[in-house]
Amino acid sequence: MMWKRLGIKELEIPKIENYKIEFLPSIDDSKIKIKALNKNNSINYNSYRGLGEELENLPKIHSNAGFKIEVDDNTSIKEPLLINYKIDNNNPVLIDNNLIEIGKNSQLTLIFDYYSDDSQNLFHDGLTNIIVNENSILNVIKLQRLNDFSNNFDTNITVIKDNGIFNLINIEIGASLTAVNYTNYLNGQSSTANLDSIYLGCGFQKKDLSYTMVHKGMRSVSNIESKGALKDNSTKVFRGNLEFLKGAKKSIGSEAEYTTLLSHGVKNDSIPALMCHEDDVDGEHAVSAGKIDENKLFYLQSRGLDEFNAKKLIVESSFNPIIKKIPDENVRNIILLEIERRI
Amino acid sequence: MEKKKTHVEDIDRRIYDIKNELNYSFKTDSGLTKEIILEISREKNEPNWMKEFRLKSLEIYSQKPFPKWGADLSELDMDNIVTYIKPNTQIKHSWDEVPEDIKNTFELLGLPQAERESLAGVGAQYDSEVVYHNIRQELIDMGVIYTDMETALREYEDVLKEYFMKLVPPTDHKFAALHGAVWSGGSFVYVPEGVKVDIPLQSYFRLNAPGAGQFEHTLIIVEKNAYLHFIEGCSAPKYKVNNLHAGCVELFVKENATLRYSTIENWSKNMYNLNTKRAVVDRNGTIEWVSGSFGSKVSMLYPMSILRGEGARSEFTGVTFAAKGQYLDTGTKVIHAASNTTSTVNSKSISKDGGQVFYRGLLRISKNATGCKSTVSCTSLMLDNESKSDTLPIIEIDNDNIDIGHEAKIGRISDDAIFYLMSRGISEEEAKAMIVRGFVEPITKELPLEYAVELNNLINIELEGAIG
Repeated sequence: MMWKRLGIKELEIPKIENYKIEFLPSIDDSKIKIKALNKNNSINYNSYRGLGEELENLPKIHSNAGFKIEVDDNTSIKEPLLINYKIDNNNPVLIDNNLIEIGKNSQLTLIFDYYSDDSQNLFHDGLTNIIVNENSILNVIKLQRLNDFSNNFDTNITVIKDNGIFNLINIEIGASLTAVNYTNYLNGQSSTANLDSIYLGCGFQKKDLSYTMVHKGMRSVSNIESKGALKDNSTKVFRGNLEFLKGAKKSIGSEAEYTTLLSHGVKNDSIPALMCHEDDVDGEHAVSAGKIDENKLFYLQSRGLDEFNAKKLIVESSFNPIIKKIPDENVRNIILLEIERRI
Repeated sequence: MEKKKTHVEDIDRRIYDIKNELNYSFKTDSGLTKEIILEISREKNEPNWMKEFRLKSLEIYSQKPFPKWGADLSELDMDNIVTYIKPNTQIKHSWDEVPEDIKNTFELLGLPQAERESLAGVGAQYDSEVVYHNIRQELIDMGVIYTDMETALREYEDVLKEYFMKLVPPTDHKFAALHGAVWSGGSFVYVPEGVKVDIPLQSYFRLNAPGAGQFEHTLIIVEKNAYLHFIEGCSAPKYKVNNLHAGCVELFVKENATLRYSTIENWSKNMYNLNTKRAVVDRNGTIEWVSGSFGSKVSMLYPMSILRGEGARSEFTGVTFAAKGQYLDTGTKVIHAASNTTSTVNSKSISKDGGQVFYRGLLRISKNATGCKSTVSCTSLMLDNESKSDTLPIIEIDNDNIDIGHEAKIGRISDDAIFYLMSRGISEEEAKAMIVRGFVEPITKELPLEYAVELNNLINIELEGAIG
């Protein structure tokens, strides 16, 4: 189903070799346990619908990188941890399998940076399982800026317990073919999941972005906000699923997607689904798509900007509220540079 | 304090569920074979091309798989559905000549009154054949053709050859193929260029025999600068055997013409309603769908508008109400195939007592259709937490010069709204009823007053005084 919309019939999985780049930050804190690669990291979920068995099993069984982070109860780590997953000519295939479990009343911020050099035929397929325990806050930023000769797949499954808060920022600007799936289970009472997504499609890039919120706990709150721009001949499929299971009383879920279309050759699909098996909830979704507001463009041009710079400014300014949330200045600058370069 | 729930009772279905004794002159065997198709065709004295068309459709039908999505159709036993049952009566043109038992049922459904009020003509379908047909002389004088499909096939064969199942080909899906093979009855309307039919035309379909499928075909052609409002209503007596309705509606709206197509579907709750409706609109033409789905056990119904002429417009207003044991999978499809076309979708759904509603929509803007505008709005109201309400709108955009907005909301009656109304001196029950009535108002106000005979039975009984 996923591949039908992107017009892809077959996918070649490359040969998996050792991944030799150091990707973990050095941590000087006894309250965080961080271990490299454990093949048994994965957790099985019955109701999960993701990228398909093959791409999901690859990191489960054949991972060549990955880590397990455990944060003790009552531990607050202020500094964001930066995970550098680089793919290059010598390490063209990255299959990462990560497990993050954050203890009760704790706090942690993780930044994943997937990037590459200019080599061809790069491949990434990852799986990240996350458990957010009671009263804890986990911030995850996933930045994907691989070059245009690479394929990128990523599956993320998060379980949020009572009063837990999960904030996710997903930035998809690279790769020729990208399919990502984020499924968040709001199992706990008053659990919260916020998902911000930015994407930029250029050239012949194809992107399939799937975000799911499953409300199980009472008074759980979820929010999906996606902002993107498409130019040249890029293709994008957005799937936002908001699901309220029976018993998720007083829960609130919202989902919004805004796409700016910059070229005639783009292809833009949106499938925002709302599944409701509980009446005492509040769910809504909104999708809008269109070209850049001509009044805005005219105003900026009247102030001396040329059309290209005016468009760039408008697109960047729509991304800005999300980029501002990233707690690392260096990463913020990288993102802005990447956007500028590609636009 | 225990939370109070809005409770909406089922409507009194008794008047819709009256069974007449079976009294038929002709009945085919259950199940579908080539022989049955040939028999139907022979009985109807059809031209050869139609016989061939039926046989070809049967072939497609047997090759096509059942849909893998949507409703559960496993209880639908095709071999048990009698495809063709002809009522023991010839086509009548005066109400007095219609047999008494058939008339009684129609009278309970309010048809003759509706006609007396101001309706232009009634094509009431009793099982598979039209038993009663009447059209005002003035329409005939204007050149408007309103007749049953069998007559149309005899008298306007060339027109049918050009249009019949061209918009919904039998290859479309399994039930379209089935329809092509066994279609029987239905209405044919032709409005000539420049003619404005200012009173709505109404047709009434009804199933009577247990196990009988109904496969009526509606073909409407509205020529340039013409206007028509067509109303289709459905109600059927309740039987234990699963019934199937696989009708087909093809609407051709020419340049600058407007067609408003209103439907209230109120099949009894053992019906599988798998209907296909499609309209194609030329330059500056308008199609307006008004659709209410209340009855049936399972519905899969997605009226489609193909906007192929520049500046064409489509408007869809729909209400779906699913109560206990019902799975109503409805929505609409809009294809913007030409530039500067606009579409509006406004869908409301209500579910209660374990009923399931599913809005499934498609909005497609093709590559060269620039300057298109579309707004889609879906709202769902759940009256209890036994029910289910799902929304799945698919939006496909293939160019950049467009303006699309979509929004959907789901939830129950807001406590704040109730509180506000109660603070103005309105009782809680009345406040809830007001909110539900307000929720479905977009469709009630779109229907002509005369048609309220049927709609009153459906919405007013259901919403007035039954909420507590």
